[in-house]
Amino acid sequence: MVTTDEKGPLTAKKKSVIIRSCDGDEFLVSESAAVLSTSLKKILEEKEDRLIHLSDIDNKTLAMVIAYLSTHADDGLSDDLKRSFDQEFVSGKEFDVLKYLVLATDTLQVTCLCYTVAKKMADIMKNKLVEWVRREFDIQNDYTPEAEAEIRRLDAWAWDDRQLEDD
Amino acid sequence: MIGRRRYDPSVGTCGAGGIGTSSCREEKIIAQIIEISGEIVAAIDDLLKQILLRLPIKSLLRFKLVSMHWNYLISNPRFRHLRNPDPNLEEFNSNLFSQYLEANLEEAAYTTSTPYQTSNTDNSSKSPDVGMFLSRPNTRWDHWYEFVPFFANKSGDLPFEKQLKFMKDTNLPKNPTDNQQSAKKPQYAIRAELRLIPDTTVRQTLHAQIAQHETEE
Repeated sequence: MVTTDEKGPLTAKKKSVIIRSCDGDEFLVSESAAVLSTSLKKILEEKEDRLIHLSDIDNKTLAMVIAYLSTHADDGLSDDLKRSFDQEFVSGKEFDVLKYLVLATDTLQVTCLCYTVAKKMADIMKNKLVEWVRREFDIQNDYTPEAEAEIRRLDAWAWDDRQLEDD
Repeated sequence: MIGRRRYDPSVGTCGAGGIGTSSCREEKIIAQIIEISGEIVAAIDDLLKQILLRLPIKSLLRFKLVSMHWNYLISNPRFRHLRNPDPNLEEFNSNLFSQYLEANLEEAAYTTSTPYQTSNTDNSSKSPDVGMFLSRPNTRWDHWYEFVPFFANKSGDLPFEKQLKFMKDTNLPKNPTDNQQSAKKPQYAIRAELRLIPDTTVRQTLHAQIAQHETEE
């Protein structure tokens, strides 16, 4: 599957890059969009090869990131439009998807997308129980019961459990 | 970048940090990456910090309990500074401070007497340093930093009791309307100022005296 980007057919002037996900699907991206990612920019500077293979980003995530990049590389769109695109981009996504997306932004070094996704993740996390967070991030509780009680005692006002969710 | 903590690269992902390394096309492996993505995110401190930075303070205090590492990240002074780049917001109201200063200008000039006045031929009660400080429209923490060593050095020449008195006096709220709001501010100011006195023994003695003073009251 080859996805052409929205700007239309490939011309000689406009350089394009082919990015291959780890499923083997290939995406055609304009260079102006690709250089928004710092890692891709470095790769493009180093070698002339127009095919970049990303071994750890799957099809779905890469498609999302590329949609983001090509929107932000589009000079025709105003900043307000881009901002509202960011809002829509993260809204309604599940936490698992966001986790994987934030990893992809770390690999590709797309700072602004990383911040947007981190904000969304924080919004989801803020009313959750500690146990939920441990489960989502696969973290073991390494506190002794005494230390745990001490921490609960220190900031007792933050432990109002009435509004917290656990799903 | 990956695998700083609790992430074992031998799990079978082809290195979540690598671009253009060996190819893996099996869906199994992708599923595996997605499965452990939470763990990987938690293992990358930079990424985790970006998320934690965007949480409200109440959630942060609760999430100290997630693990010792999270507690370390959240309680770390650097993180606190990142989250609150302007300390004025939390513990020190600089506008209030400049108000005190304005009210106590003569007193301050008097108290910081000898070394300062000998170095200046100008005998006016307003010191140029103080004037410069006040002329800035929005006094921020870093300006305050520039300014304070002047206080600290000069008051360092005084005996401890006077020094303490001086510090308390210069920071007392003079504006009666602000009384309720600023009831606790002078304490912060004193402590903040104490931090800047270079001599540790002096600082310790002052802390002890403040503690004694507080218990007496």
